[in-house]
Amino acid sequence: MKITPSKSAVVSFLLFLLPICIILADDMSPFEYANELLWEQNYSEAVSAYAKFLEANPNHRLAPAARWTIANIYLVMNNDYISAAGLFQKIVNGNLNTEWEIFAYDRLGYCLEEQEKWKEAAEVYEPAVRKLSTSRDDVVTTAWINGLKNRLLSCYRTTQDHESIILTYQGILSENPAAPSAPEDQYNLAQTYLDINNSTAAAENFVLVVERYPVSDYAQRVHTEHADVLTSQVGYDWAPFSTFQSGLSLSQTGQYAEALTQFDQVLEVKRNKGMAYAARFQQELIEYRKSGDAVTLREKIASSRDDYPYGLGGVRVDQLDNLLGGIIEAQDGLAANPEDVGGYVQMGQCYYFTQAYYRAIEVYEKGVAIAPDNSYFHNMLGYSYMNLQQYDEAISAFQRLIDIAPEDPNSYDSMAEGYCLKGDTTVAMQFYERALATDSSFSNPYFMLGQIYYERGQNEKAVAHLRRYLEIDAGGFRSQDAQRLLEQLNPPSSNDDEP
Amino acid sequence: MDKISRREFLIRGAAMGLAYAGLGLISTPNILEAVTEPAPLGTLDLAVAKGGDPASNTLKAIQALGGIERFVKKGYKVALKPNCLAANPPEIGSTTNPAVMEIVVKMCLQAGAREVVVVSHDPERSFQISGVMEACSMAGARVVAANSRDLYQSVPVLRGRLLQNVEIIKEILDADVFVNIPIAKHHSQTGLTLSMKNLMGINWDRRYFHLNGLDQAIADLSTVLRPHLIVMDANRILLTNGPGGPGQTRDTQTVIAGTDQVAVDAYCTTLFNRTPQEIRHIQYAYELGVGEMDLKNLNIKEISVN
Repeated sequence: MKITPSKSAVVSFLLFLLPICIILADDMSPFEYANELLWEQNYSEAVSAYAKFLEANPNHRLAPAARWTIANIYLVMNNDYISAAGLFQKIVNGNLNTEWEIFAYDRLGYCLEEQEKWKEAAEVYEPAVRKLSTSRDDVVTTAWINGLKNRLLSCYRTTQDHESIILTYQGILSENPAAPSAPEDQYNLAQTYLDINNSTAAAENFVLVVERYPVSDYAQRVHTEHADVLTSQVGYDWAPFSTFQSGLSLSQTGQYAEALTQFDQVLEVKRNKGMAYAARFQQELIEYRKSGDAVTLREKIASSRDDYPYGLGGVRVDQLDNLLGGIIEAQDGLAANPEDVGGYVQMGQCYYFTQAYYRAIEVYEKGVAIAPDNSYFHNMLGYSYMNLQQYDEAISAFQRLIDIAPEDPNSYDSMAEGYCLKGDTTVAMQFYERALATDSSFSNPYFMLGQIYYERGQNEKAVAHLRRYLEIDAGGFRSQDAQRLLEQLNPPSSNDDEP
Repeated sequence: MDKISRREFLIRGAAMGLAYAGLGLISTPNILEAVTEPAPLGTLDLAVAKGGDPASNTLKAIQALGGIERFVKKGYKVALKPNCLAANPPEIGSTTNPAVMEIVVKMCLQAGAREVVVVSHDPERSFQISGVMEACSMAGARVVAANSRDLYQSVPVLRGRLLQNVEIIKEILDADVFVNIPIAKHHSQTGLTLSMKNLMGINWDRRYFHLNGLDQAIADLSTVLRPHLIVMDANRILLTNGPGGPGQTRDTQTVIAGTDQVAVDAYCTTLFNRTPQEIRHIQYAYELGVGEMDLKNLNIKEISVN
């Protein structure tokens, strides 16, 4: 083809543009090409493509992403912890005070742990935990901090570096004794002292668990497992704790006046000590349970954090705040659409989980008025009454549930639970059998029947039902309890009758 | 015990029928109608159709992007992911409009798709009450509420900063084409929920996301599964009280189609008078190289639909 002068000019112009286009393509195209290879699971080629991108664009905004992906391929696909660690270290060094830095600490530490370099891993986690713990960024979650912290402590434990464990817990607790993880940290600090046979320090720290976080499971654990250490080492008086627990239990079953009296007694004895803060908050909680006023309680929690230096005594503030928020959200929604069944479900649930059972009942009754055949409302009415120990009302609600949903094994299961709590296990068993007659693959009745037979000393039947439960729901909610009961029964290994 | 009763469903379903009429389900446009000249492939980043009913906007946005045939070939299995998070009827603006879903199903089938499956990790009740189940089933799709773990498959997240693995709905991994069809709405935790946030509903363990850093997890997830096409339902957007609603809504009568999820989401922020940088997961996905969030770098075509 003969090239005319005008065509030649065009070709010259295009040739002039070509290197510019190549330079521009260098920015993104190799990165996208590498991504394509990754999608095709062609990992070695992907590594080469990302490396090529990095070679040409070492300071590109996507350079950390490219480096990160190569490191991850080394780590996850090749188990090449040394190469991966090198790259993660490079990401840390080149991206200080960014998310890349923290995320890279996390993976770098993991690579070192995999190489059993515990001390080096701890040195990586230490600054990361420090940075995260002091971060005001709401993107930094408690779970994230705890995850890294636990890995740091695990490194110390592996090397039996008790001193570092103690210093770490002390540092975390002094920084924020109101953190959601504080009860656990305080308990673990005490346990560490116990591990190194420092009983006095252990007792002093166990006391702090009970005094500051009496609502937490850890306080109960101290009471159950270490009461003797506290009594022998520091002469701890358990009476106020028992009063506090009695107040909790009365409040949770709707006996508010009696509960308030118990907390008053705690306040009188403890005055400004940790348990007094917790008792004061429990009194606020009772007011909320009585009135259902989620807005006021939420505002109090938000505005009076300084009034509660140890959090809310072990109450999970974030969870409580979410539930109160759920009530407010549902209230707003129902104001716009009072017929919205979902709004009543949400509001009822949030009241139920904050143990404001009278308020939950009110909401579920409104739900029934709008959707009388909605089985959910009747079931939750029954459970709310059960929590208030009003078993006859619960049984009536479950009877309505059975009338509405006779084909659902849950209906009979709920009724059986009502009778169980009322103490009538004979009738409870009949309803569990009816649940199984409706659906033989429904697991819970097998566990419950197994437990009742166990309590009645009918061991063969207990074993058969518990085994059947585990067959159906091996990883289920009650599987550990079923295993435990079976171990206690020490059953013969075969030839048992199936239920 | 949270299943809705049949009686209640019938009552609510009847009410929804009336609602659909106002939202364009009844008057489905001819999907073979050539209304807009398709853009040359690869030049257009986003097609934004405005002013029509939900189905017409959807049709024209996809056509402007090159038509559904650009993505769906004869014999393909197509997976569609709506937002059916809340058990609300479509007028609340919290779930993908059934008219949008219906027309995409029909377009895919007319393009020769062997099978269209509409799937999401949402309660069956939400599929029903949102009207998505009926609209998609009637149009010829199979609807799956993926609420059992055996429907998921573990996938490594090699480009993710937080996630190392996710379990993703197998139906989507098996599909030849994946179309994400979210609704644009307010979200109390992430600011907005757009296309990348909608991918949370293809994943099993949402709790992990919430506990460990929602925005980063969303961005990480977007590196694993790249939708071939995103069709954003912004016909009615929920401005407050999201993601579940009810709240304040605005009828923007808009559908955005694109292939770059970051770009689609970045554009959608403007409907809420926000910027892409304000929505953390968009920023994070951009940092991970998932797509482009600078609207100046995007070729956007707006189509008026009347």
